[in-house]
Amino acid sequence: MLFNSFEFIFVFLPVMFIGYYIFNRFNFTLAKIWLLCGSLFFYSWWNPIYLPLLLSSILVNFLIGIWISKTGYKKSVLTLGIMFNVSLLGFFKYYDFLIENVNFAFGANFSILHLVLPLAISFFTFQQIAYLVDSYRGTTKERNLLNYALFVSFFPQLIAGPIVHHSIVMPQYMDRSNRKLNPENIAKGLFIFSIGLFKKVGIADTFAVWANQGFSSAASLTFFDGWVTSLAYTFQLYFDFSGYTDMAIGAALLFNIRLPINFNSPYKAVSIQDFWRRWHITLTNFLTKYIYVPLGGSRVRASRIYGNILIIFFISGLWHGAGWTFVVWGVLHGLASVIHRAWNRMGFRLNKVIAWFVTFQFVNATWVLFRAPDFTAATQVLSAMVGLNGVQVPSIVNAHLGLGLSEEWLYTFTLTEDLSTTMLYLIGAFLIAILWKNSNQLTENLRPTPLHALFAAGLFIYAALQLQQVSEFLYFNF
Amino acid sequence: MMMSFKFFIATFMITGSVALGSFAGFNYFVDPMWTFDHEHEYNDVQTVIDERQQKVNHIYYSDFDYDTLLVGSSRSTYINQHAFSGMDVYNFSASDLSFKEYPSIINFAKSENERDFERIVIGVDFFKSAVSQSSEDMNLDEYITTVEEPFYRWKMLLSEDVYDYAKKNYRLSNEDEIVELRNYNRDNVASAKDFPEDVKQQQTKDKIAKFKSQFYGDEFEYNPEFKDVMQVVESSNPESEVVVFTTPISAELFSALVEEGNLDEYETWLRDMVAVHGEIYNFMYPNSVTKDMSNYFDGHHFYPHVGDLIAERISKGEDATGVPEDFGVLVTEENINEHIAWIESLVE
Repeated sequence: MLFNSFEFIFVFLPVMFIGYYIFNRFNFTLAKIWLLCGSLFFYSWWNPIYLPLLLSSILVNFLIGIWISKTGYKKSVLTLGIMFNVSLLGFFKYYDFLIENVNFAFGANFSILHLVLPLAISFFTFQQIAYLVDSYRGTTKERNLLNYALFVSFFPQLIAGPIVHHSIVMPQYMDRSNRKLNPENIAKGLFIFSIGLFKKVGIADTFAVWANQGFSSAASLTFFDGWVTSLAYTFQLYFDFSGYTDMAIGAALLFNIRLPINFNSPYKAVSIQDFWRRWHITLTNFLTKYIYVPLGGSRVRASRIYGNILIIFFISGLWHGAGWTFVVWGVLHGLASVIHRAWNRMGFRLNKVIAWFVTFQFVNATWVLFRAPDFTAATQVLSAMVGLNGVQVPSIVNAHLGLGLSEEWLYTFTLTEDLSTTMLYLIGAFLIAILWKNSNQLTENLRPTPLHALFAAGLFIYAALQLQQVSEFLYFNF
Repeated sequence: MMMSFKFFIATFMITGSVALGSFAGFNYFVDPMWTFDHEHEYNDVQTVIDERQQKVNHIYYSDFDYDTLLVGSSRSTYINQHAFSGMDVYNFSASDLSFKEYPSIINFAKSENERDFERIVIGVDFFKSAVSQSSEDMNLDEYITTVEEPFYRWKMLLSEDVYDYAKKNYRLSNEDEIVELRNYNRDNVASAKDFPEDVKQQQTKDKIAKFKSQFYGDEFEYNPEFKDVMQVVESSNPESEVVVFTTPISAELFSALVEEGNLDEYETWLRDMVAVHGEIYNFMYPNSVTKDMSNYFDGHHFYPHVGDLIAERISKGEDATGVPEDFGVLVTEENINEHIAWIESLVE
């Protein structure tokens, strides 16, 4: 079930909300069971076939966690636990990718399984690996299967994060003061949920149409539409993912659960390191805490730090998708991080505006790799952006600005139906992303004024009316 | 002005409920997606959004109980389902309908009817039997999947797109206007816009030019799968009488067909249908109705009053009243050679 669906917003969420507080009047455990059952139903809505996988993963990890805390062979059991999780993820997410590469490299003909990736497996696997490592370190100990299952499967964060650390949410599941309706949490939940819904439905989905159009006609793009394509995707991705996270945070707040923030105005970043402190923060935290630090972190010699950074970004790339474009995207970010560190080590500093500009350009260019179906399409879009496919200006721009360019410099812009709307959207999204406070800041400082309530309601109403699109049949009288 | 978080929630909820409730209420009142049954003066002119989805919705959500199903493409949409005598007909005709969709439409309607139809009437179009018009395997699956989505009829009420159509329908109903090529009433009966004579002539000219360049001549390749599909329709519905008729295009358009050298394919098409069904009603040849251009708004699509003649002929055969004698011939295995020879003589 998607957050931006009628089923979730108008049926599932209200039912869960009402049920949770009714059960809480009688019994806290019963309320949590309600929440767990609801979360499993939510997970199964898309495809119930993988529910046993989620349940098995929860049970096995819970038992391994207990085993680790009791056994003298903690490291071996931890290794076993990590292997279990990595194997599960590896099989479903990377098996076909691996086989394709083996077939390509060795001319073999192993069968591809065409596995459907189980929903949320990348998220719940990482959450549970963190839990096992902390069990090994002795910083966590969970003996309550219900709380543990809820920590993994709580529906607001299950599908697309934030990747929740047990130390942040477990105490909240046990906190009996969370049984009561909390108007402030509910108001803030409604507020940020509405913002997230609008970001997803009102902004990201609009950019998605243009980005899809651009990437599907990558070969014919020239300078101008190359930039429209890449920027459309850059804003689509941000407003989509951060919007979804906002909805997750908002939905969780209705149940008095505070999920960690995941985006902190990433396009304001002035370095690539800064970017990763602002983009998908919970993933960065996981990779830092559970891979980068154990590899030696920043305490080792510079060359090893650089190597570790590249390893982290290689893993990050692979985690984002089973394909070489993702790997290259990750490695490029790794290289940029290495260069940034070396640059800083050497004592160089950039003017803040230039630093922001360079960072944004790098992020925008590398998102092309992230989005493109293959390297050919990525190269085509990037080539267009640097003018290798010709620098032409849409006729309408020439006319509006009175540039007086000759025919050879002009072309008819066909990437979107209306260039002015597209430009307005791009400028608007840019200003929101660069200048405005982000949704977390707005929510944190929310004052319960009528204006804020009407603002949130307005966003919600607009977005809710866009959830169901109806398309007309085009071939009318045939 | 500062208020408490409780008032914030109340303001949010009341504003949201009132606004969304108003949209939903209006969409329900006009019902442009045909997911409800109510009928009144403000929704009795309905615009076509996607006939397949609208008719699937109508069938799915109404007490669907008919003894006859009519299937066809846009030409057949103009046939009033109530014009058939002695039959209770539901007209499931839709734009650009491929013959490959017949089985899935019949199966869906049959399953919703919860019994076999006594009759299945199919309006076939010559140009739709071309390979270019029937290469895709089409069916109703996506429309059925859509209507079966949980809460479908309710969630469609909360749609700005639906609201835009509802506003249009409300305006058209209020003014009792038919402003589009086809508008429906709440009883699944289509009306056609009345054009000035000069517009009709221009539209006919354009249509004939289009057919000559895009559909007829060398562009036309008869799809032999047509016969197979008609055979499937026949064999899958042993309890139903399958009544096939050809839709009457204007004599001018028919002449273009002949000029472009497609008379042989036309004859093959007729013979295939007679071979499968035993007999068919042929309306597609020069006759007093097809020669009268006032019966068409573009030379290809006839006005509903012609649909009434077709329904009368199919209902009563030779006993039909008010139907020109030369309009509609029951072609059988016995008379097909004679019939074809007669048509050839008409166009010589």
